[in-house]
Amino acid sequence: MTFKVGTTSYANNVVIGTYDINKVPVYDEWVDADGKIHRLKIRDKVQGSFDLFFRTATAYAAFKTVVDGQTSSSNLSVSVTVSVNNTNADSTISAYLDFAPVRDVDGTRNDYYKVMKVTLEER
Amino acid sequence: MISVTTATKDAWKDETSYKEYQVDYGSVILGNSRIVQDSINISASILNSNMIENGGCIPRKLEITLDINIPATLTIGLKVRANNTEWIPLFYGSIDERDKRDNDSEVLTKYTVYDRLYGLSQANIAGWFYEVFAEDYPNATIGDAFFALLDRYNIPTNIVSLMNGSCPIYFDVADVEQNINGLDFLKQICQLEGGYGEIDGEGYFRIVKFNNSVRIPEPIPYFKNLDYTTSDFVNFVGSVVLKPTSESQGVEYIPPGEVASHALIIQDNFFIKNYTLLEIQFNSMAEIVYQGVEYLRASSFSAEQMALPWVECGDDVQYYDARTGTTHTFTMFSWTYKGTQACMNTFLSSVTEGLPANIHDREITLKRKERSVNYSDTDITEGVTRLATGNIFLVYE
Repeated sequence: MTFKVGTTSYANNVVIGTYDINKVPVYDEWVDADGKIHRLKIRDKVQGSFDLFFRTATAYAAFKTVVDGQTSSSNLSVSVTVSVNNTNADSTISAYLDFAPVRDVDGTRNDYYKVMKVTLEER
Repeated sequence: MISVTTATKDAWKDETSYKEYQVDYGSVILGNSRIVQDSINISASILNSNMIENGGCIPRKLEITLDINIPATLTIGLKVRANNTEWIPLFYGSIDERDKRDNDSEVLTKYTVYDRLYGLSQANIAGWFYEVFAEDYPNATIGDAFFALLDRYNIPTNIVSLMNGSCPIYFDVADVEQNINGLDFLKQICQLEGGYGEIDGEGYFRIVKFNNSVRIPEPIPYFKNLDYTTSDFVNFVGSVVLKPTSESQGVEYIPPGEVASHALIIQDNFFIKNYTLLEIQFNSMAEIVYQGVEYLRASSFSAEQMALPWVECGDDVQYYDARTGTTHTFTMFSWTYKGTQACMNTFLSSVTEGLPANIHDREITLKRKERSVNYSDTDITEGVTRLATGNIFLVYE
């Protein structure tokens, strides 16, 4: 399993059993006068989600810095290399990563960031 | 009414019937699998105001979304059948506009198509008219102009002669130097025929007339909505007045035994503008117009029901209103057809003003008032014009 942002690998941070990245068709759909559905493929795109786990707030901050380093106000996509489940191959793509860390306020700074869900969609 | 078999009617009245469409352009035929569900929307009308003004000539419009890109210049035909019965033509016309559906589809294009009257409405035929008829002058007749115009714009017709067709056209060079709108030209010919022109589903020009005392209404099995005024018929044509111009005297035809009332007034018609009253009288023109509208019975109603594509503008439709336990017959002047499988018709007649109440009474009243009150010439002229067209009821005090 591969998950790299740029050249930095975060494969060890992916929670086992949550990795669901697949290549799916982007299609146009319409219904004809017989009620039959027509789908026309426009292209393929890699998309899906997985969970990331960072043991410390510092580790999360480092990940965030790498992601932010690739984005700008006009382009929020980042270059990632991911394993694609249904093609059984690695793919380097420009994608949008969305994540929101869960904050546990229990008084210990180390527990601020635990498992967070990351959704990924090829641009 | 398009003539179809009972089997066809029964198939359409069966709610579960399968509707098969056919779009053809050029030599290409497209079926249901190329038409987007519920994208068909047709509207047709022979009356564009709430007055019973005859003439018609309102272009039929089709909106349809297809999964194919058809060149804008092509002609589209659309027909439909239910449960493999006979085909019923719905539309024939030329593409006016093409739109990609909301720009979110790669393949679908929405077409707005009008029948050939629309092309005519955009045309200034003054030059053509002068070229064709100047040489024949003064022998050109209204019939010549009618057939030549349809021929010029590739509009086929089954009409072989016009009732007023043998009346001559008197040229006024000032007219042909100005703009003559092609559609107005055709409409005025239909007006003198006492009919309402339209292009049918097969692209043929026809003139709807109300000249038959026996009018068999189409019974509507059931409906979704029905609104109507309490009286079945608000108005009908009692007599016809032909006036060369709005200010001039006119020739009135009153059928024998009738009292002058509910006059249908035709004025400022291009073809009779230079006629003398004697010529109008001699050619029985007012009588011919009257024959076309003799059995016209107009009332205001609107209804929505399952599509019955053989019913056309000018046909009578009959509804049983279970709310009052009464049966009503209406003359339908405009319809829409929407949908593909669960397709609906709306039938409409929005005749609320009918005809000017009584031209004789009002002209007399106006003259009496003129004597007692000072008005400028413009006021009087405008007053007479408006009063005569019946659009505005002026009160002179």
